[in-house]
Amino acid sequence: MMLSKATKPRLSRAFLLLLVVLIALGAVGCSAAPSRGWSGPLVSDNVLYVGTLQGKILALDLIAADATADQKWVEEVAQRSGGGFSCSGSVSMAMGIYGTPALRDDKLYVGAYDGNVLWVSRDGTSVSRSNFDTGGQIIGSVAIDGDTLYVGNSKGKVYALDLTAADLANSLREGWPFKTGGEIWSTPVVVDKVVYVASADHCLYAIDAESGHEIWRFETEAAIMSTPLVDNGTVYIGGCDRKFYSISAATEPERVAAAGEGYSPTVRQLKSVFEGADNWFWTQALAYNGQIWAGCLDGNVYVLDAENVANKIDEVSTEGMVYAPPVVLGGLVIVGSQDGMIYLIDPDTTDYEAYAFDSKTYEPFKAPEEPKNKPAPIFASMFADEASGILYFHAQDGYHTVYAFELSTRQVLWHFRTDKIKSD
Amino acid sequence: MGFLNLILLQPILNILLVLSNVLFGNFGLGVIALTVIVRLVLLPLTVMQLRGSKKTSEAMNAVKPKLELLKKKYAKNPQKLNQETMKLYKEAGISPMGCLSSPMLLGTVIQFPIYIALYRAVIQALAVTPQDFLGLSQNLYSWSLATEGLPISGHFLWLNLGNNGDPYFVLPILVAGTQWIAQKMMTQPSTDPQQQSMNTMMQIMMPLMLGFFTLTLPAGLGLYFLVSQIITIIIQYFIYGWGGLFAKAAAPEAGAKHDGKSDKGKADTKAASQGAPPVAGAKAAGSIFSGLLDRLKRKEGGKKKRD
Repeated sequence: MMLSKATKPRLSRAFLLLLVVLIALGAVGCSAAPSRGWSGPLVSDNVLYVGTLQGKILALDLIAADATADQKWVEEVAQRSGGGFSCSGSVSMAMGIYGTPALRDDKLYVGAYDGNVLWVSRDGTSVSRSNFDTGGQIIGSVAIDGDTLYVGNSKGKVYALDLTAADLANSLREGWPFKTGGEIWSTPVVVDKVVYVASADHCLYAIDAESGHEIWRFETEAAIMSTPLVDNGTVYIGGCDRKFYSISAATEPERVAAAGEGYSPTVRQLKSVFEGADNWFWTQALAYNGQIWAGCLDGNVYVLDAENVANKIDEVSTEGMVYAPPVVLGGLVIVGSQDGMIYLIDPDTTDYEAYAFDSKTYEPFKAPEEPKNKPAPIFASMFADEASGILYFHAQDGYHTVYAFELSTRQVLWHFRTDKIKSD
Repeated sequence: MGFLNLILLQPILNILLVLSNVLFGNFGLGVIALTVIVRLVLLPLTVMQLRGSKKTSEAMNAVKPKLELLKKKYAKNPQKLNQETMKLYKEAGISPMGCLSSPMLLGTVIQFPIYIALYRAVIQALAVTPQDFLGLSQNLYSWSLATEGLPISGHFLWLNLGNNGDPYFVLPILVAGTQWIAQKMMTQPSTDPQQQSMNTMMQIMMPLMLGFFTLTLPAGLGLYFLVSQIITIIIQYFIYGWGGLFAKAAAPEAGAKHDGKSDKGKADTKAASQGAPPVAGAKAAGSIFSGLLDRLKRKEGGKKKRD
């Protein structure tokens, strides 16, 4: 096609303008962060189950003799949502599954980002016929207590589902859902028939697990995204107000009273508070030997007195946000950090060894030695298998890899890329 | 990136969150208040640029007849014409890079990092994904006013400010419309057909471009564009009046010997009727492009002659 003389300069001008638009879009688009989430592994009967970035549930056979893992089955249960190109509006792409799966009998239950609760049979041969749609994104994990599954969603509701019901879609227990005033991004915790759940409306709620009635609420100064820890009659929780609280747990008489009609929920008073952090608390704390280990987004793990959390016993500093809850393995407290390292801490002295994992060769490097390839951040909850002395963790940043780290040898037994799995 | 976060993203993000919290927890009102603050901070610069542009425009009008003479005189010697033109500009106090001080261009260039920081601030403040919320924690000051309103709702009127564009396309249309008005106010009709064509092109392309941005980026940023454009229109009105907004297109240079009836715009009417270049951004970009094209044409012409 021939262009007229007048058209050519116009086209070149339009081309220049288009170039400006593309450069601008590119400049803005470069702000996209790598996608990552925090679906942690669960190990049961030599099978490891984990949610993937792409919304799949993956089962790995753990073959102890060869110290390897083989893909057993994989099931796509949710779609990864959000756009990859940052012009879609997200800095990060939302994952299909954030929560760690939970097992009950022969079924593996999971809450997906699309708001559905569903199950996959343990052998991967069947999936729930109809899912339970909560209508809001599920970020935390599901909690199972007896025959009931509890889950919170981004619309601020807590659901209790009857797992004995024939159909998951029609399994909502009477008296539920419980409505809070803000997003629920954490996992409900059920202890002694009381459900503790934190909400972005600044409150921690204690709810009767049977009736769904509120027993009490505890108010803080900012949103609470972390999962509560209940230990020895005390609830421990940290919030976005940079404070870590201890509150007396609900008592049985309180629960019974709340289960009846006409009960007015109370506002719980503070037991003690730690105010020395420089950023938000966003992970469940660990109770160990009369101490509370609380990971913080300021990169520290605070060791606090369980009786009075205002008493700081010690702190361990990492070089990244601490989002994964600390675990105990072989008498050591283990902390995973955004800096891609796991810290093996002696709880008595808080002396530690730190290991970073090369994201391409998967080799562990004991600090201060550094791997050649930057290690992937650890956000997902870790699974500590006391029987085998193996720590399983899911590190995610560009490459998504499950590691099996043997504590006795300080070696990686095997690794498995979850971002490149074959479909069944 | 860390340095840019420190000097741009973090202050904008924290101020935006505080404003939203103070303004009834309404993120839309927070964005509007932030826009007003940003434009107030940039006001001296904007006024200076507008006045500078006006001066340049007047100087250009003054040298226009001499420039025409030079063009005729050195029609066969482009190199000499270029030298003499530069000399003339220098004498008249016109910087060859003067077009870059045009408010349409420089104002945008200066605001561009703010747009990017605001884009990231809107995304982070509204925390579309949990990862974004984690990222937000690393950019917040320890102000309780900034954190106590989190997570913040993006709902404002019919818009979700964290989502892209507008389901009813009202916001992109308003943004494009106000951009067109602001640009039209600053552009005077030209008697030079090439210049007029460039002006028309810019008047269409720039609003379309901004409308496209509004459509593809979070609506919070679109709201910033809209409020910012409205403020621009108000500032321009106080300096230029309605400018070229209601001015009719000038007659082509060849066909009209300027009877003084063709232009009725308040500002620079005389200049326009004398075939003066447009006042502002369109002229700025126009003069760059047309200068380049002229040179290319001349080079081609020179080659042909030698052949």
